[in-house]
Amino acid sequence: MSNTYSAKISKAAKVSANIPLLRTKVKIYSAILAVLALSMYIYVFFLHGLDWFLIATALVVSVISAKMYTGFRSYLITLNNINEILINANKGQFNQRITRIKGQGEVGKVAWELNEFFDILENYFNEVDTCFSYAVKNNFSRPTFPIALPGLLKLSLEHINKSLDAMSKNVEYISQNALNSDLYELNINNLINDLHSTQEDFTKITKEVSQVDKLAKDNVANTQTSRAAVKEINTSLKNINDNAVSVVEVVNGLNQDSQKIATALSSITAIADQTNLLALNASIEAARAGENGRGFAVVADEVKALSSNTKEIADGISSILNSFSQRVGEITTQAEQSVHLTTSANDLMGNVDENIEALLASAIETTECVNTAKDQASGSLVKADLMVYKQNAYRAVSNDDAIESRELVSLDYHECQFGQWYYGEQGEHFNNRASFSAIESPYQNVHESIRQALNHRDENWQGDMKVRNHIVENIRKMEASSQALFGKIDVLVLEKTA
Amino acid sequence: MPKKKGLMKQLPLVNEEVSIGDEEFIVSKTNVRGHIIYANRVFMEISLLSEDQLINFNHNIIRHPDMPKGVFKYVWSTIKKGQEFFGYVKNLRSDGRYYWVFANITPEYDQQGNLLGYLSVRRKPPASAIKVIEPIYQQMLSIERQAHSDKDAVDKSLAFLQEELKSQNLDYQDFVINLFHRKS
Repeated sequence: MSNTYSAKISKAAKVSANIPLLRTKVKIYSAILAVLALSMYIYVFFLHGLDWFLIATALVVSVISAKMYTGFRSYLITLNNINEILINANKGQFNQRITRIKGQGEVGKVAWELNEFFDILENYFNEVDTCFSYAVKNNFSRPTFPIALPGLLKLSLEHINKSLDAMSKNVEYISQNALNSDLYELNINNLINDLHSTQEDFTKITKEVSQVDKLAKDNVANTQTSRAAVKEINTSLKNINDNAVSVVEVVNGLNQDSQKIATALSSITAIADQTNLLALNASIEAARAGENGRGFAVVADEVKALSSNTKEIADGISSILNSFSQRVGEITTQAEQSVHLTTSANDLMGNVDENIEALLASAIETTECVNTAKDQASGSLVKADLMVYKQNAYRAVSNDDAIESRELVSLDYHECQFGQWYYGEQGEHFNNRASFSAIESPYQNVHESIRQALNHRDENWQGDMKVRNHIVENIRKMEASSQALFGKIDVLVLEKTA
Repeated sequence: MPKKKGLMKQLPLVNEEVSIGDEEFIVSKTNVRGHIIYANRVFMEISLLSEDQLINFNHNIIRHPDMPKGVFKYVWSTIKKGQEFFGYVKNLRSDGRYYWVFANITPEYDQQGNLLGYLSVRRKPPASAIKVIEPIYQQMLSIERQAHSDKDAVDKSLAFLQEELKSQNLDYQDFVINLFHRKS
């Protein structure tokens, strides 16, 4: 292609070379005129001597020929300049102009038109070249300036401006896609990690809760055993009561018997008194007996009767004593029974005590398990808050219209859900731990990274891949801080529940 | 052999505006030192200067005293870095009247990449743009008048312009281009 082009040029140059140059023609014509005028002068001089008219004419002719030669020279210089800039223009250079062309008439006019043609052409190429050199760097803020350019060139620049708009939109679209794709990948990977961590938390919580469940079941069993024992104790105690009642009855019987014994004893006393009196009487009568023995026999009979009465009474006492000793035996048996019952009640009470101890221990354990589960759930909840916060950040960064998300993530770090937990009452529950203060730094980093990503988002991120990379880099930082933060939360919960 | 700018010095100013046509542009070229080597006919007509009065003169012969020097410092620092300059410039013509232009100045190179000089293409700016830019220039000018030395004046007024743009979070070039297009 370039070969045929250069061939054409050299051929054209050759064609031009065959035509005698204007400068040579002017030289030749001027010389011919001068020679003609001189020969006319010589001819007339030899033929007629001095002819003033002809000599004057010949002089005018030679002056004209001289003038012709010098005058045409300046036109020829301009033409030469025109030729030169056209040659350069053919080589793609439009920067040359023709100056100093005052008073050159038609040639000057041509030169000016040419200058202005090159002004237009150079400006057109300059505009095209410049705005595309910007566009190559994804900068579409420099349009071309079609104003003051003529016809097709103006139209062409207007079309270029439209194309630049379209390219800008396309780059915007491509950038949006690229950003979305980067963010999507980041998000998916981290979301899976986050969910995995939450899953682990729930596993732990479930374990704690099933432990609580087991403890509660044990408690029910222990309580049931205790209830049966208490029932038995009740029955035993009732029996003890019944036995005591029997003992009272027995003792009452004993009382009555002793009253009878007392009565019998007073009878014996009376008999003894009477026997004593009778014995006195007998001795008195015996003193007189010497004379009369019959009276002594009567006294003797009386004493005999008394002694038989006394024997009967003694027998009665003996039988009473027998029955008494029998009842005492009964009391002993009853008492033994009572002792036995009390012992078994004591044993049962011991069991109840043990059960209640176990119940208490398991109640304490249950409370601990529940607290652990609560703390773990608390950790899980704030992790979920952070996950929601990050999802909002993704939305705000990838979409201009996500105003609500943007507002949420732009909140001060004291005000977002996590911040309210950390700096509020809920956080106080944890804040006596060293690991609690370790949370603050990564948490604030999450906020800061999002803030910076959003700042970059407000720049010309579509046009500048660097800015886009800054956005993605900041989101990556956010994820790294968030991962560190999750780790610290785990440590905190672990410490709290240990 | 650049000549001194005697012609335009101590010219009585006339507070009247003239302007080039909507579909015209002024074209001029200078060498690397800023001396004019080409001026198109629109330039000659609007400045009322002939080719002889322009060529070989420093381009600053048409500089209006209302223009802060800081702007020209910015022009030179931009184009010397090989970047293009855009800006609004108030120019003086030889009858003392003035005209505003929206100038674009670019460095010109030969095919070997050597710097040849600078090309300036100037279009008619919208009145709305001048309304915005004129008060800024006036502030820059008053800063320059208060300064002790020329260098101090230029540095301070340029710093003011840059601070002003920064406070509004604007890029200079975007700012002036947007001012130009707001009309159309």
